[in-house]
Amino acid sequence: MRSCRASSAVALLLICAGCGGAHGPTPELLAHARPRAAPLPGPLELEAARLATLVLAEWPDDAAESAARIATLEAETEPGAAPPGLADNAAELLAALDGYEAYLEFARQVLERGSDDPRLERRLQRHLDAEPLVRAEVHNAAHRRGEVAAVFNRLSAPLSRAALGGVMLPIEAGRAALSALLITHDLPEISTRERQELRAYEEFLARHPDAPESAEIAERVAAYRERLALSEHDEALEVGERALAAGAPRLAMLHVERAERLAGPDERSEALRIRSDEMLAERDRLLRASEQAEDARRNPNELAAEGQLARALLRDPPLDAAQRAEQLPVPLSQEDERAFVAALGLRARGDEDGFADALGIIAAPSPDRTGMSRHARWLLANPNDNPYGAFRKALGVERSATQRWLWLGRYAHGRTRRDLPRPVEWLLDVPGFAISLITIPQRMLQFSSARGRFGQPVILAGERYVARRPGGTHSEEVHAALETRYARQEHWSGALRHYEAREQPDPEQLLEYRSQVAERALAFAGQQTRIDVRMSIYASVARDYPDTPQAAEAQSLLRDLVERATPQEIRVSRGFLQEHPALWQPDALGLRPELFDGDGDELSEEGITLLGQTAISIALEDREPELRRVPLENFARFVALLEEISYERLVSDTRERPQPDPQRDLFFERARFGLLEQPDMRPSAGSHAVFLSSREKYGLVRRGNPLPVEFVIQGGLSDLGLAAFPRVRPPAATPDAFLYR
Amino acid sequence: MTPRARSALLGFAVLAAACRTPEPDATYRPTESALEVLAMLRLHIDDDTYRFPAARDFTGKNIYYGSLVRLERLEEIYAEKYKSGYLLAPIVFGKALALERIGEYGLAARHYQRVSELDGELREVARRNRSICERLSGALALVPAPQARAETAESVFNDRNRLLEQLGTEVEGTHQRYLVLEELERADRERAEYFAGRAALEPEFEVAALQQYQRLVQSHPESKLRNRHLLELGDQYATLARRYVARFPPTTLRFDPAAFDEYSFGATRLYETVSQQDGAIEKVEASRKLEAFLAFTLQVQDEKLPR
Repeated sequence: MRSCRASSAVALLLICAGCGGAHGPTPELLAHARPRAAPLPGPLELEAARLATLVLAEWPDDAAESAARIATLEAETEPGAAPPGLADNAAELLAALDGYEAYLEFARQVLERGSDDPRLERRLQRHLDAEPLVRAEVHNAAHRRGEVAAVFNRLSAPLSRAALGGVMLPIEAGRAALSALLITHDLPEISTRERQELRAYEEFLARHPDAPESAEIAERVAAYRERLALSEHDEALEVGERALAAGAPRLAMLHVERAERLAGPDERSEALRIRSDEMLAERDRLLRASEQAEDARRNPNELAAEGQLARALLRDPPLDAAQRAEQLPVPLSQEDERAFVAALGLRARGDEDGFADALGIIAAPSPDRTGMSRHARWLLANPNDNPYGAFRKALGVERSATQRWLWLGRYAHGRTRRDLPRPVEWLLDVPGFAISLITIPQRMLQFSSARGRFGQPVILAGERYVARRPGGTHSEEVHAALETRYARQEHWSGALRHYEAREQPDPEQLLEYRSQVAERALAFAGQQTRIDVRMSIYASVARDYPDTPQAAEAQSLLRDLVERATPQEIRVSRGFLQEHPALWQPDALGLRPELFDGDGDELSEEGITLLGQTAISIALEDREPELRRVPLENFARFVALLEEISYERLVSDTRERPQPDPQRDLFFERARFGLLEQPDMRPSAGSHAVFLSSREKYGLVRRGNPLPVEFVIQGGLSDLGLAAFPRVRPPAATPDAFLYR
Repeated sequence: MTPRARSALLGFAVLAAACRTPEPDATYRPTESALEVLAMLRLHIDDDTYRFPAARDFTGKNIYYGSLVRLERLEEIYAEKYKSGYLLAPIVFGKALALERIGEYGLAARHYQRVSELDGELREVARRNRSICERLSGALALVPAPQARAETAESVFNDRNRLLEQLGTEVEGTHQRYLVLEELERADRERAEYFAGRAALEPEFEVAALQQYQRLVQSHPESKLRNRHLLELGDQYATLARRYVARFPPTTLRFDPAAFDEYSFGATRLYETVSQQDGAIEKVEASRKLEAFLAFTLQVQDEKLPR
């Protein structure tokens, strides 16, 4: 971080020195001047200022008269002359004084009659669109359209395939029929759009409790609330049932309680509660049983032997305890205890396999076995106590998953869960299942690239083994397996780590892995916007992988970054500057007009870049960029214009969306106040905002399909399908939809 | 003038605007832009920002902050035009209103002071607003000293509340009543935060902190920050649950499941309540907190097996 700051400071100093700030701008690129004097305000403007004063002072009657005078003055404009355009602003200001309802009425009037000022229309329309009831209507319409789209689209694809005929005709016809039957089942209890509609209604009631339509809206809200509570109740119970199926009765109980709080207890919640309670009770019973002392009456010799065995185990190191256990005359009923102590001795000696084998014998089911067999079974099953066993098991899981995928494709885990009776679910999957069998050769071709995805259980178990048994009996085998799995996933640092841990790594392969790691790090650095992060990655590649070809590249990139780093990198394209000439007039940026005339030195498409303080980089065609400094007053004006133009574009262009960028805003604010003496060198303070012209941003042709229906041609190797069908475009989710799920 | 007469005049103005020809004269742009910003500001100045979030402008920013920035920009861009001072009073007054609405009372008072020094209709209202802003600013400055005893701190907070409540009765019926409500809420919140901060080092304040957060929730049921308050109260319960587990690990004999449940029940219910608030940004935070806290309680319960 510190090196980055220092380098950026050096870069900016170089820029400023290069600009020769004290000597003024270089004549061939920049020519600055003070803003031209503006004419004194005329009677209309003075009246407008008076209206603003009266409105802010809350003098409504005088304000109304003033607005009328403005309208009269404006009406007196000579025919053919450009109108002042202040009358509608005056009317808007007056409407704002009379309150929100009056303003909305004014907006409706203007939009109904039409205005010559599209900006005003857009602003007024926005106010009307923001009204809670309007929003509720929009959400309701979107919900209905979404339902129609869901039904239509579900049917159109299989029907189209059925109509096209072929060998799959009966299957596709069946699928279409079943889909039609299941549509209502699959639709959610209450959609996101309906929840948004409900929220809008609630906002209306909160804002306008005394409105005439409030009673009707309140009824709608109550109905929606009831549906929402039922939906959430069902959802909580479903999660609870999944938790119980996964052996987590306490979690299931938490969800039962939540469901009951939402919509009260019912049969389903009661049943789940009982099942959870039973599972908990059974677990507690087993636990208590394991903690109970045996009630068997033994003779004094047996008790003495048992005591000796226990003392040896607690007092002596495991190896000694094991030896002592061998010598003790324990009764047959304590044989398992003795074998267990002996097994602990094997583990202390580092004999992993011997320990596992011994436990296997104790754990073998037999009516004569004591409680020790359960302990042995637990140790064998616990991956932390038996990591190699868990690793072997994971290899089996991987093998089985691979085989299932090869044979069954996406049905490797059985039928698709649809919350339906199992036979119906299987029936629905029959066509897909048939296709999966046909496409086995295709999956065989994909096998080498796809097998990496099945290695995760082996990776988890293998990592556990090497962490718990460093240098263990099976280390070489496990490291080899891990290296292979990581390499298949192109996780090069993992592969390298385990290859290095192997007994005799091949230097060439080692270098290959190191190069891959360094290459990946360089690619990652290239994606970073923060300069300090990039610098740190380049430095680490150069430092930690000096033997790879990427080290030299990292050094070069680092040097380049140090030389060129600037506190800001806000770009304004040539197209944007041409679209808004006020930005580069002599009283602002002061670019010479010759840079835009297509002759001689010409500004390139990249335009100019703000580098921090008042320094700018001017990109020229067929030449290196030129660095210049703009006088502070001109820079402040340029920034104010840039911000105002961006605001105007948001108002007038429906395609524009706000681009939040606090770093850009803060830099602009400081520029407007002339507070740029000290550059802000923190990497987090830099902005990479880009200002593009409308054409650069959206192109000449309007993108997107304005129709609600589209035609889809669909085909895929996985299902050997080819179909062409119409599809109703579902309404797009609103940006805040995630707050309603 | 009756509202009907005003509406007639407004209708006339609208009609006149609708009848004109396109492409307005750019000479009037500085005045037009200022009127536009002031109209938006005036429209939203009476908004109840205590109960509802502040409106937003086209850039997605708080309308008051956005208006302030735009007025400053217009002053920069049209400096030559505005030099004659014909829009000075409305623009400075507009900036003062915007500053007041974003809680910058000191700066707002200075802007009102400037307007009150000018002749015109805004002079009196600027004087009155300046006085209110100065009193708000004075009330906000009442904070306990770092070394203050709990009783002294409590007394300072009480003084602040008293000042604000008195101001509240004086500004009844004006837009400033919402500011006073917001400041009362802020005072209650700071009081709760103060005791929570002390409780982190001195456990005897834990109950007081919890009570203050409960008071915050109960005193401001209509606030736009209600979800935030509920979350903070939930955090308090969760913190107490975690502290209890740290003091008495579940595997020890001193752990009392009932005492732990008292805290965890409060946290779970509060997080759950907020996680069900559709459309609230706190919903996401509450959902994740609920999930994390449930994982913690399950771990505690599992360690305490059997029941």
